[in-house]
Amino acid sequence: MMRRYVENIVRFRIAVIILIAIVTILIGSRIKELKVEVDPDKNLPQSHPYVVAQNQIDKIFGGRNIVVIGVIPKEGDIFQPLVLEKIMRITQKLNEIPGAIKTNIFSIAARKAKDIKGTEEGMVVRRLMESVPQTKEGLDELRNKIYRNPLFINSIISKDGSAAQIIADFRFNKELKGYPDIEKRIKEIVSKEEDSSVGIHLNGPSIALSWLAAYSQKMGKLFLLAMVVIAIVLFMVFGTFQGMFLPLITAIISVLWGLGIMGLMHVPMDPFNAATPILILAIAAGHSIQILKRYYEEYAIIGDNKLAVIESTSRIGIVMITAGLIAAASFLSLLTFDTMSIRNFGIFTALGILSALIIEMTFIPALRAILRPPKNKEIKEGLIIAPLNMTLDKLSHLITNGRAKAVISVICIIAIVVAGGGYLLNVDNSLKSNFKKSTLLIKDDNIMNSHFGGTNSLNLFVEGGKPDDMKRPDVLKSIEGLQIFLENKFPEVGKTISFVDFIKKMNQAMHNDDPSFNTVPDSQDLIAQFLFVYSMSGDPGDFDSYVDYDYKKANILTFCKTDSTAFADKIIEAVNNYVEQNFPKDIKVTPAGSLAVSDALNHVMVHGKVRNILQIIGIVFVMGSVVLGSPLGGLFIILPLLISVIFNFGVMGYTGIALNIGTAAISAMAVGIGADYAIYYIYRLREEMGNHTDLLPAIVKTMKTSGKAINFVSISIALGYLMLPLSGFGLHIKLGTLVALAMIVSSFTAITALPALIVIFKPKFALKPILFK
Amino acid sequence: MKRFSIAGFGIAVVFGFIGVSFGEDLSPKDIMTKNFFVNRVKDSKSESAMTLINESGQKRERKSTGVSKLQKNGIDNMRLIKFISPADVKGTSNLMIEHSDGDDDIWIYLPALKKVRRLVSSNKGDSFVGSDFSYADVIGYKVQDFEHKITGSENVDGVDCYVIESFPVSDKVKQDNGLSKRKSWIRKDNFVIVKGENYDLSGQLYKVFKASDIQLVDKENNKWQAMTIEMTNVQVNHKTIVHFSNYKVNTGVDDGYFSQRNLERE
Repeated sequence: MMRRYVENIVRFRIAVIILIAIVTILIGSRIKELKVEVDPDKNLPQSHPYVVAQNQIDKIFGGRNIVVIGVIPKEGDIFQPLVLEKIMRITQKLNEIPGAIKTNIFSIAARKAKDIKGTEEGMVVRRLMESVPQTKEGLDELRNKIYRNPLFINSIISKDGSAAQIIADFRFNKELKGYPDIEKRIKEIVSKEEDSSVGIHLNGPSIALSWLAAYSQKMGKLFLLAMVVIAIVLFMVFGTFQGMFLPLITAIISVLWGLGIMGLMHVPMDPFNAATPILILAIAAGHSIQILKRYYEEYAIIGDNKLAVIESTSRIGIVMITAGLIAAASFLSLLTFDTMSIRNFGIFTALGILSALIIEMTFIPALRAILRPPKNKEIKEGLIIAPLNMTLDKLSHLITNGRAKAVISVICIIAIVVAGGGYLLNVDNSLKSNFKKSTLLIKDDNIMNSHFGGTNSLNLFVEGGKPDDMKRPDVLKSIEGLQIFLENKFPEVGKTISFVDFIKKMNQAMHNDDPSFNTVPDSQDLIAQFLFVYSMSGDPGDFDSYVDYDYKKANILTFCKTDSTAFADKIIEAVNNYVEQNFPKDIKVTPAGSLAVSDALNHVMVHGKVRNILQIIGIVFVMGSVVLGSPLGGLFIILPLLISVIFNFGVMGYTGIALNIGTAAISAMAVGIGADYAIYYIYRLREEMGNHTDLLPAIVKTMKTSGKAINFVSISIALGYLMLPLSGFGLHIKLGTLVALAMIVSSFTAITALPALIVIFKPKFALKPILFK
Repeated sequence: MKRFSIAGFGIAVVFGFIGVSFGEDLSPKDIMTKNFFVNRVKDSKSESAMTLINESGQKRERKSTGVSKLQKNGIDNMRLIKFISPADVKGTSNLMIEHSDGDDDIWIYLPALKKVRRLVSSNKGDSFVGSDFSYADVIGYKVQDFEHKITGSENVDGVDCYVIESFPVSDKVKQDNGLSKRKSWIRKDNFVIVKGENYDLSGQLYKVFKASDIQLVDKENNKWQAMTIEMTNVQVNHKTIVHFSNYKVNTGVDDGYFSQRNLERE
């Protein structure tokens, strides 16, 4: 049946090619309907406590998309009219950016930055800097005003006065669509102010994410470079242009179809899947190379192009369909996940694999039937084949000459040693750690962290059960205690701000600036009345960043010097313990803000991806067992994939690469590659068992054919992806090296451990010959 | 019936003409001057409810009783406000002696602190007791500080109004008020402002004012007062609504009432 089908494909080759071309154009054109979902929050289960808190904080206080701008004079301190004027202009202009949360803009020139001063008669509340002082007296007065309120130190001015900071916060809207927009708008403002007298430094979560977006765009170019390298390697192994192009064409059309069908079905794409085409590329090229390799073998025997196409495709087609369906089913099983990105990963990969099967069974044989057959000298194979042949021969020799047990022992020892690295594996995500120290982002980050409280924001969302809970002295004292605890316990925490700071300051001011009154008052009514007076002496929005309208919820802003989620874990645990022990029982404190959200996202994604890996291994095992009619067969099929996952996590542990959103996604890709190798290998062995009555010669032949094809795939993809580290971006370095590692490990396992185990155990499923008439 | 309406039409036409010619006799400055004095009563007592509404629709309400008296210069007021609610600020009171030429004197009494404290805050362009109204919005913009132009007439809520645009005469005025332009809709019949727009220094619309339920509170002196006033800061979507009730004028309140001592009295 298969044979007759392939004969028809070859007969109607022109029609097939045209048909596939039309389908590709039709489906490919649907890519424009593909919605790219850039909102990472969509991946957060909306019930996650940090996410719930963040959504509330976002609505009430803002604080999610913080930007910090450092203004640092080259000489002297910031108390120079020229510098202050710059701060004033930047602050004013920030207000004009659409989407700027005006009440959250904080600098010495901000409306809400007010000097609270006690006098004998009462209290003076004035803006810190309404206009820029021009005289020495004016400048000195400003300095006094700023330094008498600890709230401002490390938040909008450095301890020594050598630097000022402007904090801004944004909500996205039609005119402000993403982090690159924020960075662009701010750069337009600050570029006019930066000159030989001052340095201006940008940072904060929004800026780091904007950098990430910029680097992600470089990925496109890197993929192209990887493709070029893969093409070159393919040329070197096959020695022909066909060998170079056909696997790539299969892979590219598969990716196009996958994306087009997603567009057609209105399944959105997300940035976490930007690297998924690599996996599709590897799988599609893998199938293609197996068939192509087989074609060359058949052509060398038959000497007729069309017959060789029919022979090779019909013989290996069934194996490819088996392997492809197993893989597609395992990826489709990811649809059971509630994390959108993992579902997308499953759908996208499954579609890519199915597309590759269809193309490999239609377009490629039709095309190959048209192309001229290889010349004799080309069949002698490409440049780097000689050393490969030698290695494979040695391997066959080892395995077939009684050393199979030794081979397995060595592999086991290595695997155990590498697996030990898994214990060292830590879960951590730091966006900034992906950037080189020489980048402006990291330089600015270091400068700003050395002058101020920190460029990364964690918000603690304090929630009472009823209105006015945030006026209770016990609650305020708990908040004060938590702030002191965080600032003293964690060197990474450079500054905390809450409305309690204002209450303390007012209490002091109302008592003639007596420092002993820099405390939370014991009377709730007095707190209420202080808040009332402050609200009457300022603008309506002055407190909007800190406490909500009915005094039920408050926000403690915490500035940290690191964006590591491992640190977030540590500080969140400490906060929870502190709250448990010190806060009134009816008050809830939940972490939120960019640090907490990226921590939540990291945990959810890592956890999801690990489950994703286990599920795929499980499904491949079940299906492999069914197809081979033996659970042991299922075990053999998942072996390369298990070993590559072990290597992946082990190597990450030893090299200190943390498990996070990016690396977990890469690891999940590693399991997608290995199963195919084992299936091709076992089926080829069974076919050879039909030609040779003895196992050992069949192993040797399988190694020379299918084993070699497996190496072609892994060498070309691995070398291609080793180009990614050239970008210098941490995520690309990890992506490139870990994908390469997974390719090498799974292919190596398939051609060593697999035959060695077969030689040792002689399982029936592997020895049952497949006979072709 | 028909005849009556035709007669009514005729009367309207006649009065309309008078109105127009009357209007043309008044310069925009005259109109703004009349507007400045139209709600300046000798003294008043009232209850008021102020509601602040933020972007997400959350509200804060304050209820108070207030007494005011015009000072001898006929421009500045003295005000004493006692807050009734929210409960935890009940008894908090506020005495304000306006000085249109300088900082106002403000004293507050906090019952929980049991002390009268002097509060120095804000500029004329800044918020009035934490509302969306600025001091100048409440006290009134000095007519001579602005150059006024009539740009047309419009019907607002069924009443004919002059539309007047006012521009600060000097940079200082501009900076002090934080405004580059004001636009006022002044009723032709009684010179009460029913709608206003303030533009910030960059020329963007900043705040929108609305007045309704306008009542003749002093027939003798032709003084009018809107019982509901509303100011929206369109840039931050924050709104303040004030309702006055039991508004009484010429109650003969004594100057001595506006003393720090009086603040502490419940």
